[in-house]
Amino acid sequence: MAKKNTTNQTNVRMSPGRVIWRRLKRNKSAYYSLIFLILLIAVAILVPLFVDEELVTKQDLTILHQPPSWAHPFGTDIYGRDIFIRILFGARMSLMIGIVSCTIGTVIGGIIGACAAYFGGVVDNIIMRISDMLQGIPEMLMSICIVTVFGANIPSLIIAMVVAIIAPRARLVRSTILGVSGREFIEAAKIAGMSDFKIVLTQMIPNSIGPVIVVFTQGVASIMLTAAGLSYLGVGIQPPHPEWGALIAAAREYLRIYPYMCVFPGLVITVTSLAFNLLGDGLRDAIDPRLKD
Amino acid sequence: MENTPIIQTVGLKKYFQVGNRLLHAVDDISISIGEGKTLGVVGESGCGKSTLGRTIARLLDATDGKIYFEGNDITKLSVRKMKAYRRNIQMIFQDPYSSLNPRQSVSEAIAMPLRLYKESGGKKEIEKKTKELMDTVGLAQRLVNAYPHELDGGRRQRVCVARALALDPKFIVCDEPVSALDVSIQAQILNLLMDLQRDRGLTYMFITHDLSVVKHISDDIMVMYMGCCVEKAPYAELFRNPLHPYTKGLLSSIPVPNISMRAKRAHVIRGEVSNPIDPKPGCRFAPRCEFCTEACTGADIPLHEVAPGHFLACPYAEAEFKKTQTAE
Amino acid sequence: MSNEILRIEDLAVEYHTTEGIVYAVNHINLELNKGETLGLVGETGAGKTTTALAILRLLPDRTGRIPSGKVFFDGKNLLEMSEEEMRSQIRGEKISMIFQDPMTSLNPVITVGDQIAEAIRYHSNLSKAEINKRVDEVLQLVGIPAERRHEYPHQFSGGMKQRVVIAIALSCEPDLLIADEPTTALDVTIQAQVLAMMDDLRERLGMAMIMITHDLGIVAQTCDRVAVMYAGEIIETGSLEEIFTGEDHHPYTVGLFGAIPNLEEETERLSPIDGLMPDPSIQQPGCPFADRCPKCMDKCRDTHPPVYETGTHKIACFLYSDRQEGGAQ
Repeated sequence: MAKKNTTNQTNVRMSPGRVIWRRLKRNKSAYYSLIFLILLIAVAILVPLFVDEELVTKQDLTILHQPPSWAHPFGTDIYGRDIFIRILFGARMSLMIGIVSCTIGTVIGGIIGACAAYFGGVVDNIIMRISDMLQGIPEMLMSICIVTVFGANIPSLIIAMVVAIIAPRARLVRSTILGVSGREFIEAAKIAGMSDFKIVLTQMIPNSIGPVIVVFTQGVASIMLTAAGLSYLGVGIQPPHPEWGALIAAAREYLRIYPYMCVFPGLVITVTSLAFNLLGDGLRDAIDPRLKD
Repeated sequence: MENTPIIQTVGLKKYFQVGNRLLHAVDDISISIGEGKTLGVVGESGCGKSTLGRTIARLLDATDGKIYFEGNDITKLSVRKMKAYRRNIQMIFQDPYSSLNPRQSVSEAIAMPLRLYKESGGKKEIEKKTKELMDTVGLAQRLVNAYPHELDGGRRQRVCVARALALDPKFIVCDEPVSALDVSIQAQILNLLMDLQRDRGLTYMFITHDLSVVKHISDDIMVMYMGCCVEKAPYAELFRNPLHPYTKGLLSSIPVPNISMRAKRAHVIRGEVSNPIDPKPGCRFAPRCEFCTEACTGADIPLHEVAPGHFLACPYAEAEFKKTQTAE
Repeated sequence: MSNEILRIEDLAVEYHTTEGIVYAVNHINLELNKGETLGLVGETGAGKTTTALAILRLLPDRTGRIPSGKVFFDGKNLLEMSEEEMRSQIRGEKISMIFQDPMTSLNPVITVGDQIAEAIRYHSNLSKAEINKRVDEVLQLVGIPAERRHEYPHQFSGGMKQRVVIAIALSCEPDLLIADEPTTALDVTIQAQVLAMMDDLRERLGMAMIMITHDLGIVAQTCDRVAVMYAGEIIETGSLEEIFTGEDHHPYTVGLFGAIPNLEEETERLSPIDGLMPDPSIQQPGCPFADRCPKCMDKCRDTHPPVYETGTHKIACFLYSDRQEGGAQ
């Protein structure tokens, strides 16, 4: 058992949250990713205030398939619509799908996982076997099935993404809580007379949040990519909605002649996913720096 | 003459289910600790001392036997009924690194037990009590908002002691409270525990594998091996006159910081601890004992009082001891 | 000089972490003769393990640095050797090390016999049959039945695992064994077994040993000489008699002895050492023990005490300034 000798004279108000934040700030790639994502989300939320939403779908036959220029930074598509503006509005969709699905999936999966950990025994077994079965079905296939049943619209896409993510989240939360439950401070709370429910709520869950947050960011990235993939396959968001995958799908045929129609949405998806993943990596290192060395 | 002992167990057993077999962690332990006294429980890993401590503190449910607190049977009390006794039975754990919630500051950790009981009063009273407790255990007031990761092992353990004292308990189970600390810090914490006992009339069950520590703090000492008590005696008597072959082996295995003892090679106990799952009846130390006889296997060995207060579970050693008694 | 197997001169080790520089070892000097056992004593954070890792150049690549010092082994400076030379000639062959935790020192997916064989194979040109024979010999040496060579580490108890670790370390009959708290994780009766075995082996193989421990009892039973380490510095060295029965000591050594509960004597209260080891990320100008020392004088805080020696007994403390000043510090 490694014993550490820490000093007694450094800053006295260093809660674990602040320590993690400090460590994160020092990781340049994670820090800039965070800034980028905050800006992106801010833009996604605020863009309708500054730009007329009609421009997303309004066709202007005079400026068909223009290459990138000052007036149209990413060029225009075959209907004369400004690609940059479409991408901005698309951000609203893609990010919304990603964040909403991930949040719902994590919360539901988390509750299920916590129940499995808390009750143990038969309940745990049943829950885990069901989640095994769910995870045995290929994600894409399951998403396509759901979307086919419920139609290719946003709610059904969100449902599909949530279903795909519940089982892995339940498993993660279950194992982190089980890991915490063996620690002696849980026994200390029991000995003091704390009820089981309060222990799970106030002692276990706050200490299991770390890995869940890390995985959340990576989950958003992965959901965005999957949603984009589904749209590209034609079973997700349909045109004229500017969801990023749909943008690439629509530009597929013109890849050779008007590459900017595909390239820019593709780049944006890639960079955003990368940012989420870098942030997730940085969070993981910040929460548990021992893993780094 | 004697008041009711604070803690008493009768035939306490704790078995764990492993597949369809039973792991005998604690087997038939009967103890009695008077108010203000310390029972030292000594043994190596796997002897069941930690399980015994946790069973008495009702963190685990006993498989059989009885536990009495001040004469009241608390063995099978429900969680609700047990809460009344929780104020009086507390515990200090071994690992100062996992016995504190990393997300709670020092004051939050110490106040945690207080907040669970309405009798503790409001926010102001709790704050005052927390500060008093920090003083009592020797923690500087400036550490009120410090978090565990900023503190060293010794200070963390002081926080744990303060937390255990918060409800003014009568009885504290100390489960290897200094084993994870450096020698110079161990001494600080041991002194603290002894001072608290003297000032507050606390009763301790002090669990450890370190015989030199237990001698320092105990009134009586019980030696455990594979779930059973093999010898029990007042501390001076145990060290002056150890009878059980395991106790003797344990004592002589400890490397003494005295170079004149160097020539004497330690009496090395051969072999390893056997499997505690479904053990055969008879003395559990028999496979490693060089004095093992017919009488040692076949049936479980009961504890006999061979001298006032000195209990022993070993037919061979008992016979030898009686010989020396009659010789005198 | 010819009897000396290891000599450390002015060794300093730093860890360059993202949170700053940690001065783990500050200019230490040590000597060890052939066949001798040196006890390196100190508490957590004193720098004992770092010293051992520095000798074998096993410090973490990213953070460990050796800004100064020389480590002479059999006349050659280990710090100047190439990594290839270290790996093929020194580690495992001339100098072996065993670590504290037997649970994690062994590879869980390779049988015990194979792990010992691997060590032998890397350092010799023996045929397969000869290696197998040697594995059996080595297992017997540490008291493990030869049939168990086909078992995996998880099938052994803690004490047995440590024996396997020792078997691997000794398989090539090194000249120097560095044992870093080898029995701390073991029960006291098993510890007695393992220490007795190590003593036997040491005598039989005639090797030198550095026994790193915080347990003065183990030092008394196994060592010939002692070096006491505090906050990255060696504050006292001497023979076993000088340290245990001598009159004069560094105040830290006195504190260390006073803090141990004594099995033999009756003591009312233990006398702990107040305070804590200083922060290793701050370089202390004076004596590292100054803040906790009951005999601290003004100059102890500003000036670093040199080493004063009487024969083989060396103490780094101004209390003994009437003695002869020793070698480079």
